Amino acid sequence: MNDLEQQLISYYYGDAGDAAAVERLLASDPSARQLLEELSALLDQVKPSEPPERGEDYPRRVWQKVQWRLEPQLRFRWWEFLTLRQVVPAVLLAAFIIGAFLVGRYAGGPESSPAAGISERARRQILLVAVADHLERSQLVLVELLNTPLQESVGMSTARPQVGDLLTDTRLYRTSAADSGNVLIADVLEELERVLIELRHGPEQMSPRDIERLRRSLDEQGTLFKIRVLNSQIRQQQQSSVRSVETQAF
Amino acid sequence: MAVEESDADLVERARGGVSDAFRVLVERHSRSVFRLAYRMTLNEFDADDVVQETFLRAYRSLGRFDGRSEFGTWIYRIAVNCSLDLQRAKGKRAEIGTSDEEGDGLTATLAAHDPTPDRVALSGQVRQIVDETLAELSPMERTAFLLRHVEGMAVPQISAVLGRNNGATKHSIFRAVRKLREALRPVAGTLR
Repeated sequence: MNDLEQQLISYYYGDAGDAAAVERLLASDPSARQLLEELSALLDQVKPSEPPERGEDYPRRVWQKVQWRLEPQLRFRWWEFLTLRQVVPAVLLAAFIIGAFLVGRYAGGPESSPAAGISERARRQILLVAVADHLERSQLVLVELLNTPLQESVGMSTARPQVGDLLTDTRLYRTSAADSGNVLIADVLEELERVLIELRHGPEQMSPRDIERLRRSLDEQGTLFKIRVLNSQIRQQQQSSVRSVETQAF
Repeated sequence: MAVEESDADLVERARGGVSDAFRVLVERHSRSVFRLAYRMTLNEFDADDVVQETFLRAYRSLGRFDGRSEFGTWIYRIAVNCSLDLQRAKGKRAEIGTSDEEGDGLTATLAAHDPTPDRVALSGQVRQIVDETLAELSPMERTAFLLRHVEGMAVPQISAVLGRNNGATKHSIFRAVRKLREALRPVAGTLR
């Protein structure tokens, strides 16, 4: 790109240091005028796609999420937050996957298996939905622990059964992901599993030092970040699949 | 009529521990931060993550905000850093390699940001080329160009957001225009 082109681009945007000099040049040089016309025609047409719309309540939702991560003392403890509404769908999905897997393996061959009616792709989608929900629940647990005020200890006796449930689910999903060749998901779940094992078998009362150690370990390995990125990618993929189905339908 | 409290006053109150003041800042700026994050990541889910992370970092760094720049510029600057961090992390994950059967796209990258047929039909060939070319620019080039061209920000403000000098910002814009010009060359005749 030559100086003239750069000058004219700046002029187009009103950023030229010496606009009068550019105008003198344009008045005396037809090729400069032609180039400016070309650039203007091009830039006038550059109208990139707009970012996707966010709903009216987007600012409020952002605040809720930020507040949740910033002010642990103002919100429910996470083991209270994991209500039946969150747990039941994941358990049902897990039961469905195990059931489909067992039936497929032991019930007299693929022809007689109810699971044979489900395509491989559908099965993978179900797994992904379940994994995404599971990652979100696990993320809640880890974020909550990391946000514990520095001087506070955390009693784990109430929370431990929930950690046990998360651990069981993590193992299930990790195995399913590995079996279906989803290396990325299996890797992240394996990392999550190690963290949950530590919590499950750790002290009854987590001291600030224990929490700090956990925080450092999660930071060093970027576990939370990996969980968030993977979850985001799965959600994105789910949305693409829905769009694709909608496109085919219409 | 109630007078809207300034960002500077809200920052001052948020520093004093008034969470409601920070709530107003989050609610006031979350949409524009999302737009910027989307420009940089080209992915709405990543952009949502960036928005959250940006305000978390901002809250933790409120003590370091010296008020020399606008709060909006400062928060944009944090969003740019969060976006770059996220893209670096995603880049690392993509290098590990994954199973990507039937186009599941778990490792989708910006280069694979193919427009859907609907979008092409709706927006036309020029917009398709523009979007594809923008997706291939570096995040800095794309953001500098879009902040100038679409958002109408002045070069010094863009430089503050991107943490660069004005010369570097202008060069990012020039490079973006040059690449768009090259990409649109086949349809240049129809642009006049």
